[in-house]
Amino acid sequence: MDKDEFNRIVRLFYDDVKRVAFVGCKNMFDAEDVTQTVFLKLFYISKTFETDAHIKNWLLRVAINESRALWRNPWKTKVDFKLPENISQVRNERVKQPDVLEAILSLKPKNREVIHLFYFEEYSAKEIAEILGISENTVFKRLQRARDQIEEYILRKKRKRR
Amino acid sequence: MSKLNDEELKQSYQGIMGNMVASEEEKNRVIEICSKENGKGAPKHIGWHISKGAAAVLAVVCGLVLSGGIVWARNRFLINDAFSLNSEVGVEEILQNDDNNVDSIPIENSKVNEERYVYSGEEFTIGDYKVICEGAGYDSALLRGYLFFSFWDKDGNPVDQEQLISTSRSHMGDMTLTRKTMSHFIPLGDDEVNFTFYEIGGMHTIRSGNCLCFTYERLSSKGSDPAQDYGDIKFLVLDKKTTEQIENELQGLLDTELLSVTWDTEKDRPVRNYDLMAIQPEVVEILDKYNPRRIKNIDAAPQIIELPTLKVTVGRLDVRLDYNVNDLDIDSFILRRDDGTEIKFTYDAERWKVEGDMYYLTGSFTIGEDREEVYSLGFVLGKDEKVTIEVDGETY
Repeated sequence: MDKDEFNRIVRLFYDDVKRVAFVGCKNMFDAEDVTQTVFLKLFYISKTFETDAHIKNWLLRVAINESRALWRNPWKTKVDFKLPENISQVRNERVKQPDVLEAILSLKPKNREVIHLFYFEEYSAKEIAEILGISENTVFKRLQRARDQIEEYILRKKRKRR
Repeated sequence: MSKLNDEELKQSYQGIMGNMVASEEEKNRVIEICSKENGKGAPKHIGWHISKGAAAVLAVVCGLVLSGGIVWARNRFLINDAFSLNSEVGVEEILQNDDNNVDSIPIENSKVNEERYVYSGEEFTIGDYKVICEGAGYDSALLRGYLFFSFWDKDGNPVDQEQLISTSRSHMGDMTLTRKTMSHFIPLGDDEVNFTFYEIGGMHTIRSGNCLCFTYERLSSKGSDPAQDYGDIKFLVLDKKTTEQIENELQGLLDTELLSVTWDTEKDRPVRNYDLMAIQPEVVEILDKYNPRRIKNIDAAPQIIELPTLKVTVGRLDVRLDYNVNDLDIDSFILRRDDGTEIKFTYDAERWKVEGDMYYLTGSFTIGEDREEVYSLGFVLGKDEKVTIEVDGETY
């Protein structure tokens, strides 16, 4: 890939890739590794992308796969996740449910991925289905199941605080 | 919170994650790493992932650990696929897609004149070009096998991409997979297992360097009912952990569309599969540990992922399960009635077996062209009968 074009893409999509990697890895250091790997692959792939959206989809898909590979590693599965302070302590007027990230990170990876793509990236179910290589129906099911689990998690957390 | 507000969830999540912004320094570092010395060093990084997968592919197919490791792999790693030369089929169709994406081309009109076996490392000539079979592999997750070939001109130079396409279009018509059953024989001594594959009229190509990768898809040795022998897909499921490790690598390889043979700059030729094997000691170690000679009844640990969609009609319950192929393994399927009695269906290599005389299974199983697998099962129920469904321990 042309170097200037590569620079542009890194600057444009780095944060998106890192976020989805973080959601996959639940660890900022691993997320950075994954992000780097993803862009390395982009640099060397001979694939032609039609649009930036196409590139982004590819990047997110590869990031998800890389994160999965990392997370499936037997010893990784034993590691508890820890939210970085600058993320866990974010409070602003938009954040009505501060436990939401923790709740999302407690989900199974496949549900986390769908939730992130839907709520943060605001992809449609169809787009998510294409990125993840699953059916739209499956996306809906995962979303529904994830929402239920998030709700349950937040409720449980609130009860504990009382 | 009585009910999670969807908008609140979105806003909160975006509010938190939006704060995750990388510094310019971090981005610059990645750019620098990627482009450093025109990429030197980076291929090693990428190659690691490729090679892991490629080694795993080899390992999955051959059970290389069986003894002798790499040397055995190099010399005796057998494809043992029925392979034809001099077919009249024009494989131009196969190569119509000029990008590196996997694509499927029907070879309905294949006419096979000759059948033979091709072994890894074997060389033969097609037109003015020397073709070397670099190896083979099998991806049990995607139900696909791979055959790698490199192309060389008469002076021994690797054929470049453009030339490769042209060469392939001109000459690869001489070489196509047969439609007959292909078999992998894995020498397990007394426990020898014959794994049968069936080329279903789909063929894929991936190009890299001067290599072509042909893939074939496995459907069934019977041809008519793929479910009948589907279960032996688990042939190298040595145990769950091992399988996951291997398949993760395969999946990563495929998902990133980097399934190809990497270029060895030092040797100025594509990296051979057995070279890749050589740098994957952990794969050898894993397989050594789980020597398939010791494995008799191989089965995968169950994994169930998705909620079935239920459709109830009078006296009949249709259950449709959609899976990603990653989550392919189903061990058992249980229908549980209101009174607590249950009927368990056990999935095995031959068929879905029904335990219980009131119910019978009418389901079938198909392998789609994409990565979505669809299982449709039908159960005859008594009128107004209600059931819950448990799939691999999860109740719906």
